[in-house]
Amino acid sequence: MSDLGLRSGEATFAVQVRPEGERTVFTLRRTVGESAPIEVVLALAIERRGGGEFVIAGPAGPRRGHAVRHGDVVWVEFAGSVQRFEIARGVPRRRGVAGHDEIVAPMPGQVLRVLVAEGDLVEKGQTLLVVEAMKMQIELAAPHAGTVLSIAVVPGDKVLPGVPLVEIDPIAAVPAATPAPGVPA
Amino acid sequence: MRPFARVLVANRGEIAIRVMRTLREMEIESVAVFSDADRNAPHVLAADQARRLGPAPASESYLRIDRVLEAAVSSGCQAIHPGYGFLSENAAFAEACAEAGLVFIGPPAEAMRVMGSKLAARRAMQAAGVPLVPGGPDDPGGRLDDEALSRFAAGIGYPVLVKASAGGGGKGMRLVHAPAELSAALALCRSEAQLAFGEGTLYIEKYLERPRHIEFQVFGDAAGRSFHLRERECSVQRRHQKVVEETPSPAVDEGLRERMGEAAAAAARAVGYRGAGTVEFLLDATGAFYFLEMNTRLQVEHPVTEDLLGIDLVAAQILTAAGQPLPWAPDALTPRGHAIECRLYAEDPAAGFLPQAGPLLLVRLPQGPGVRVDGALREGDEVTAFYDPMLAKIIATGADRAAAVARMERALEETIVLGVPTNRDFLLEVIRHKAFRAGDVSTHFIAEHLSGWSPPSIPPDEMVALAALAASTSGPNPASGSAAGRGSAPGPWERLGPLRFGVGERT
Repeated sequence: MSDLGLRSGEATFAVQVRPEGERTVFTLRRTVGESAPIEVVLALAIERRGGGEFVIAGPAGPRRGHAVRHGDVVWVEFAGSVQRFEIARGVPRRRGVAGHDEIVAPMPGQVLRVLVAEGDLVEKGQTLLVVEAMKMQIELAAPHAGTVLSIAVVPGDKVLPGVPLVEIDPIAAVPAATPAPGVPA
Repeated sequence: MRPFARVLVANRGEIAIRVMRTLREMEIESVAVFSDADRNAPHVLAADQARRLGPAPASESYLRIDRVLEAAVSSGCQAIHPGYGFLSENAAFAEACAEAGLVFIGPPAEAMRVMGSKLAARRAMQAAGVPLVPGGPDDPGGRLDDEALSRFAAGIGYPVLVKASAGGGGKGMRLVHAPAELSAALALCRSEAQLAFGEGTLYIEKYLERPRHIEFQVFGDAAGRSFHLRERECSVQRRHQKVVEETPSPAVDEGLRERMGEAAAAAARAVGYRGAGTVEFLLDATGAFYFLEMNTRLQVEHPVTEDLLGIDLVAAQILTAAGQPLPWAPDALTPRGHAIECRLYAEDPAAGFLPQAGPLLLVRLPQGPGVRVDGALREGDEVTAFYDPMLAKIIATGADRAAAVARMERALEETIVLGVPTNRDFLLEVIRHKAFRAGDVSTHFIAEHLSGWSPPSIPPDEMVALAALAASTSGPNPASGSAAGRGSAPGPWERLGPLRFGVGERT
């Protein structure tokens, strides 16, 4: 049986599921960051009820959990907390070009101001653009010093969370301290 | 005698439904208004009739005075209830209602105008002898330029708050620690205020360390009497917006309640207030209190006052607007234990509490003794970016604070919303926190105790097992899975990649 890939925050899981009598056996291989995977085997008696409800039998009696899938996302509620999992499909998640930083919209809203232009050198923490949502203005700042490679939006654009707005090519040195080549000091 | 035969509710979401519930109980017909995003929304279905206002953005629908009035007149309404937000504190709207022959269920326009301007309100409160936070300048004498504001800030001493004169709800407001930060804060606040309120006048206020936010429910009846209905403590806030509210406040004893309540009633009298309003104070550690602002409308957190005293504030507003007496005497009301409210938001507490949008795939709301839910969320609906991200208010009452808090914890555990990030887990952290249990809160509670909070980074094994079951046994296409996606093309929630939050935003 092939592994199912799940990701939640920094943790990824390769999961095998197989029925064994009244129980379901889960083999979970968990990887967090660069550390070595940890494997856990769980045999659970789980009953799927309607409407996203699951009942897990336990030594102290059955416990309730909820899980629903929507596209490539699974939402789970269990024991007083909620987690969002992404189903991994063997395709790397959408990212900017390796080594580049992508500034993405943090929430649904509208671009109010773009304060930099393509080719600009920016400092870490410098405000790149201002996004407005629910009448709050959020300043989006450069996570590193670098060069603005591309700007995908203009003021007035409506954006959804995760939409790339600005791409930055990070540079290690602080631009103020090391003048760009060809620029007279 | 019925005060009105038919009333239009110029709002949406939970507050529209809450008002309509009272209208139904009073045998008054209700008329809903809706934008294109709300065609079949719960508040539309809760009304006897409904009228379309316009496209989804509030500026083209719920804020359109002309369309709201037209809907009220064409549906034969005698009065309009504005709820909170939208047009509820718009004096021009109140006047336009009167000109159209409609009763505005709220205070007189003049009271709204005075209290709606922070500078005018400060002047009125000063005249009425209500204590004020050091701030100003009180006499602008024309436009306040940056230099005048900066001189003033230096005079009262940093840290200071820059505020929009027309502001509210934390919008157009910035904390400034040092003179060097002032001019950037002024520019940002001015443009934010211009955008949100159409008016960019700013003023400066002394920043109090670790204050409590204590507000008093006030009421002016049809006979012209003004009184208070005790306090609400709303100190637990994030982004200057309330998260948990309760009454009574653990910090207010009988003597303080009497002094603050009298100041609150005096504030209402000073502007000829009628109907329900709220006077907000900051209370410092020494027991000194300062007028913050007056909200000339029904407050989001009004249910805790209702549940503590066993009254219906919306019914009281309606009776008063019709010139009728209240069914209760304020002196005869007996507080019954303790009431507490938590606001359930579609937001990500681990990413600066940014508002979130998405489908409501699964919704379970709490039930049982002493639990009230004022909400408008329905499984299969979509939380959009057009409106406020509040999903529901959960209100728990108990014989004392400990009982109410225990009941709230239980109610939150029963509250399950999947499909959009919510603050439920965060609310549970607040309610379970030792300092909260001890009643030791200030407006910095979240910053002091729960800053950088995030859910457990490694989910328990059982959760992964449940995720694997849900992932492997329903189809990859949301059309065959969830209610929200049924029969529709993939929306942005499927097409978008993983979300990345917290990229350099300021709080």
